[in-house]
Amino acid sequence: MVHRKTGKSRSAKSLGDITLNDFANSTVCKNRLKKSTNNVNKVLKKLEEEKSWDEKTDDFEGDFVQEIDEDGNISYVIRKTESRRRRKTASSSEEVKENIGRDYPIDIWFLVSEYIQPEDVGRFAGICKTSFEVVCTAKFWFSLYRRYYCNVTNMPEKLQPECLVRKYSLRTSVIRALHYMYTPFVNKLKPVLATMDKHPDILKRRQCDSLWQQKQKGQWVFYFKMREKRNSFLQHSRTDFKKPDLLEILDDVSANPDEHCKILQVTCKHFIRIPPVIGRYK
Amino acid sequence: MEMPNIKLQSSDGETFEVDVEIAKCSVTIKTMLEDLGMDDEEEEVVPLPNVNSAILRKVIQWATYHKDDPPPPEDDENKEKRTDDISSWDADFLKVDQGTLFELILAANYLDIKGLLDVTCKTVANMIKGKAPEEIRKTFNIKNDFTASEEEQVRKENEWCEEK
Repeated sequence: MVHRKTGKSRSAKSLGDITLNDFANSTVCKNRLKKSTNNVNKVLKKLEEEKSWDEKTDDFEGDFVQEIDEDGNISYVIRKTESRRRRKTASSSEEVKENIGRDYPIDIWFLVSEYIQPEDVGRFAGICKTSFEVVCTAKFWFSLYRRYYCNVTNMPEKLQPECLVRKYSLRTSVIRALHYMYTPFVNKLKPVLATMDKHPDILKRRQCDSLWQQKQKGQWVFYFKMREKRNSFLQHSRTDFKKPDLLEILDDVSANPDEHCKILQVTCKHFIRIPPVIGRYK
Repeated sequence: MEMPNIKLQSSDGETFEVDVEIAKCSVTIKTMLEDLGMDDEEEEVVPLPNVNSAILRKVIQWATYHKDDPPPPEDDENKEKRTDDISSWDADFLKVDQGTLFELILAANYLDIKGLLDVTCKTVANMIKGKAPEEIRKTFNIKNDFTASEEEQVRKENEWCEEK
């Protein structure tokens, strides 16, 4: 009787023993696993589950090799190949460029972040992954907002402190608010506003998302928010295909619901009734 | 009248005898003395397991110089923190290597010495100002753990604050 190996044994998840080095250097799981999770397969499975599909392929460093024993039984074993990793290290620019220097604890970066001015946020975030992690927290953006908050008359209501309480899109809102409150940013914006794109052609293939109006100095100003028509998977700058759940969305500090939008501003002497335009393409 | 002294022990076992009033500029030590009911007369040693002797010596030096300063105002989270008001003595005091500067931040945070925490963080923030991330990493001897593409993405995400 031919002995059949189960499909499970062919799985990449049972490649053999995982070394302590492999586990310690894993970029995926930073949390310590429970002591009860000491089974190698479980560890591998956990690591695999946390990866996206494309990472799984990249990290797979073995080939299936058919082996026939003296009884003629066919079995498949995985032979670990080292060459792929070596090639990657040698050629890929994705590798971390330098590994010299110190790694400071996140507490330091949190403490220093309280003293960072708005124009230095980019520099601060670009120092290392830990400082970047601090800049990705809601605490950082709430603190930046509070430190630079001042009451300016033209700031929209949604950027006022009583409306800025949720994590969703917090970064976008704080950056926008700083362009109303923080003098260097207000000044930086002036020449940009003066050279605003005036040709309506730039609105081609855009869909009207919303509209609102304001009475200013005896004139009516209508605003049409035009969203660029994009493929759904390109809607966000991030290219992960996994759909986030609602709680993840609500906690997304960096979300920008106005990404890829332009505003068409129309000034009229009198109020005009606007026909239904929301959802229409130009 | 001579002020009573207190013994502070660093993580590496060195003992420093300091004036109680100077030691009490650390809210952590002050609270410890009050909560434990340690009498000024007692010869108790206060262990500070998170501060080594080199850093503790610097902290004591800073606290001794600032012992007559008025108590720092309550931290107003809603106020822009100025970074251009460092006294010349503090500036000279903080002319140390980057490792010491960062360790002083951690010590000031652990010992809860607001004035020292303030001035050390301001110094680091000032050293960051106007520099490219690469220069900052060089200044503070920080490991660059970004890949080239990650670094580029961080730069792009933060174009909004770049000075033109």
